[in-house]
Amino acid sequence: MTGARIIEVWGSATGPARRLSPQGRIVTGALLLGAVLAVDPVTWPGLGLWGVIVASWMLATSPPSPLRGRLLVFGLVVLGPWFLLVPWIEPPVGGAHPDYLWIEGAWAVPWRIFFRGLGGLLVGVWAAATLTLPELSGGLAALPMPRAMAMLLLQIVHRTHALIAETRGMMQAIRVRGAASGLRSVPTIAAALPRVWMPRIIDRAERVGDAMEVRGFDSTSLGMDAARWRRADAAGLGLAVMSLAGAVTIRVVLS
Amino acid sequence: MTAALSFEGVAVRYPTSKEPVVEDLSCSLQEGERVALLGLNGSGKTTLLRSVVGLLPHDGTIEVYGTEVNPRSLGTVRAHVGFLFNVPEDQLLFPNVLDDVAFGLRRRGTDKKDASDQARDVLRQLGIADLAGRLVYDLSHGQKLRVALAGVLAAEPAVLLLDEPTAGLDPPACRQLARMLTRQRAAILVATHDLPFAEQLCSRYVVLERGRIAYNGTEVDLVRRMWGVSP
Repeated sequence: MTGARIIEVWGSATGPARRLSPQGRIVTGALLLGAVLAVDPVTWPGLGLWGVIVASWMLATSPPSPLRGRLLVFGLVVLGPWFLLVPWIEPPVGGAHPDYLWIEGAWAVPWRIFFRGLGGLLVGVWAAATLTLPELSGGLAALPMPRAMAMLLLQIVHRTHALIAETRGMMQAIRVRGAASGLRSVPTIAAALPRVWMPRIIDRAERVGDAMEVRGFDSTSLGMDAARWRRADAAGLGLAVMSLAGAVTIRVVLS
Repeated sequence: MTAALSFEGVAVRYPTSKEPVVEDLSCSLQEGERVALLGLNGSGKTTLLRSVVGLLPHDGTIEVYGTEVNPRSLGTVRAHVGFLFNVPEDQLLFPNVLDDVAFGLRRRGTDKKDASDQARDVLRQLGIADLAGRLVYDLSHGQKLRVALAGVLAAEPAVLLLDEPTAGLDPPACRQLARMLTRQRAAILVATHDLPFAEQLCSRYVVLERGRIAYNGTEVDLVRRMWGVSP
């Protein structure tokens, strides 16, 4: 995904989850993220709950179709290769629980990584898609966390676009200045990027830090206004807590 | 009469270097005066501006309306000085244009609604009222520059420091920017290579060469000759 596309993710979802307050969406997303990471997808109930959580969150957020497709492809590309490690994985000792799937032994390891990783990716990005950046700011400000941490999180998101655009520009420059085109340029770019990228990013970070200092942007600043909680939050948070509790229960009972 | 900004025997060096980038510099700006700080790359223009707001330590004396710039007075100095950085994107700290422009006002204690109203006014004065609800990522370089400038102007600084404000702007945008700035009451010190812009905006020219003042006066033709530019 390009820098522009990553920024476009924010606020692109149109589903009923947007009726929750921004902080309600953040907490619900975080709880569901916890649930898909906690659930054990090697058991039938665990895999079932994983599917219910991901499908329900997709319906609740309604992310745009291209985002769904790209995320799925990205997840397959990043997490799929874990299965190639199976021949080298030592199978865990002990018999299979009756509720376990046919996935046993060494296959269970990449299986867990795949489902937890994919679930985390989908739930996390779709949660982000329910929030515009100003909503993210208001939501973070409403949560009981140190203001400095909230501002830091917001700045990380805020700067992502610039960093990605800069990285893309550097990659293009490296390509143009000597590396071969296409796949043959990948190793050259991969080797050169940290050398070129790190000083540039550090330089930019220093400049942004200077601007923050001069403009008086610190942890006591008033730039973030807390959003108000809404009634709908109770429903979203309740379902998310139940999902997390279910995931933990399945994991504890069947392990 | 107290100068808006004054330098007396100022030397500035980077912490990593022994050699000063700016050396033995003395000059001043009066209230409402607009001065161009001209010089080739590496002549010390940006370094000098950064030292005024305490981003670089200096020797000698820098004063903003009589307040000497030192680590203890930085809060006061920065409250009176608006700084437009060379890369406007770096100083846009909020995703939303209006929030960013209103930030300086809110920091001074203005309540949210008044700050937003005043920020809209500033955006209107700069001819970019339509950008109020936009995200900064969607803006062009010229728009980002104007939004950053609006954020600086909203805080009504008494002294305005501009670092290469025309970098990346096309000639009509440069002329428009100069027109906007001539309407400001603040004393302006603008570091630039852009002589036509400096000529349109400023009444005095300070030329730096290797960190020292090579010329300080009102004759733009002299500056042209120094740079080998025909009038």
